[in-house]
Amino acid sequence: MREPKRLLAGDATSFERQLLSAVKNERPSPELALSMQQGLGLSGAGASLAPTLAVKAGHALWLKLGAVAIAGGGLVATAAVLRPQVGTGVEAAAQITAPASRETAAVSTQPALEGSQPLEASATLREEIELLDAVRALVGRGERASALEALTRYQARFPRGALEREAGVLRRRLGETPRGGSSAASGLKAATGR
Amino acid sequence: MLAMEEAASQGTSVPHARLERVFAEQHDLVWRLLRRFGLAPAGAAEATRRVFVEASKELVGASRSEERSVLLRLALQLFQRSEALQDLAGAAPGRNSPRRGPLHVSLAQHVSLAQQPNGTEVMGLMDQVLTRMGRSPATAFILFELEGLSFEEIAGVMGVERETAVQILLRARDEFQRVAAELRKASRV
Repeated sequence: MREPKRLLAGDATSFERQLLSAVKNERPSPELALSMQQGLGLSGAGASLAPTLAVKAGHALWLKLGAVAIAGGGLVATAAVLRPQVGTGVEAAAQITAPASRETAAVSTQPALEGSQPLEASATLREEIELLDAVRALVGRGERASALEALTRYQARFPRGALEREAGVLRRRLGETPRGGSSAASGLKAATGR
Repeated sequence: MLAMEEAASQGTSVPHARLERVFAEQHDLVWRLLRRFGLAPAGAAEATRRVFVEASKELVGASRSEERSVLLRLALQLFQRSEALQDLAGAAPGRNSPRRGPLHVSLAQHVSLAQQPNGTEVMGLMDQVLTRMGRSPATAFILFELEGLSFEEIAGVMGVERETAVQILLRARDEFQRVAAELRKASRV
């Protein structure tokens, strides 16, 4: 089968072009790019965005952005941070900034990590993700007892884990009362955005 | 840092310099894909960071030409996991999704479309269109029409045959053109 011609290179209407062009070249702001880079513990050697911005932004901004990205945890409930925007129109435009400020508020209570800690935090987060993925797989297979056991292991390993709210949701799914009662309830609220 | 360096020295994680390069080359693309799935800019940034954390392991053994596909596949998986979480929490993304209801064109969008296009407003409309398509068609559409990937690469990212990817794209394009026409009609002042 031949490869179709891309709309922008073909016969898109002017309105279709307008829609496509609006999103085609969107890029993260330099501040967001820097926060990602910081969260990964990258120096920016492979990119040109860090040096200029670092000087411009100053140490305070680095810490602030670092807290957002690194705390990884605050973001937690993957669902909370990754919740798609379902608003439309002007409302959607407003939401473009709103979730970011919520996230900042959510993680600002956690101390910013310093120096070489970002990647350690990432490795820990990865371990948390893997443990909870295993729980989720067991839940999916209907292996409740094993899932509870794995969840207990997760909570013993990470008593104040970045994904504790996510763990609470899984525990609730298994018919158990999430540990920490009200905090789990707030975790669910955070996860659902309600 | 130490844990990652140790992992790199053991060959279970890519060397730091490679991750630096891949991040510089591809973070825009990953972030943009996640944005098109409806994430706010900061949420997409955090999700992108997570993709690269996982990529530090997944890229071991991948050639340079495979890096982009690996990242995009991880981004899709991460997003699917987040959707599953929302299901668990009883907040499936589709529950209040625009795809279930009528298209909504705000007054501001009427004005911006009728007079001078405003990037943010039109972007919001485009995201509505993508949301209504459904995940797979939107993925194929974004990767082909907006990011310029080949069908071979799209098929690899989506885990389907090339012909299937073409079919998904063609259906997505029909939907795009249909909804765009509907939106155009609705936005006329």
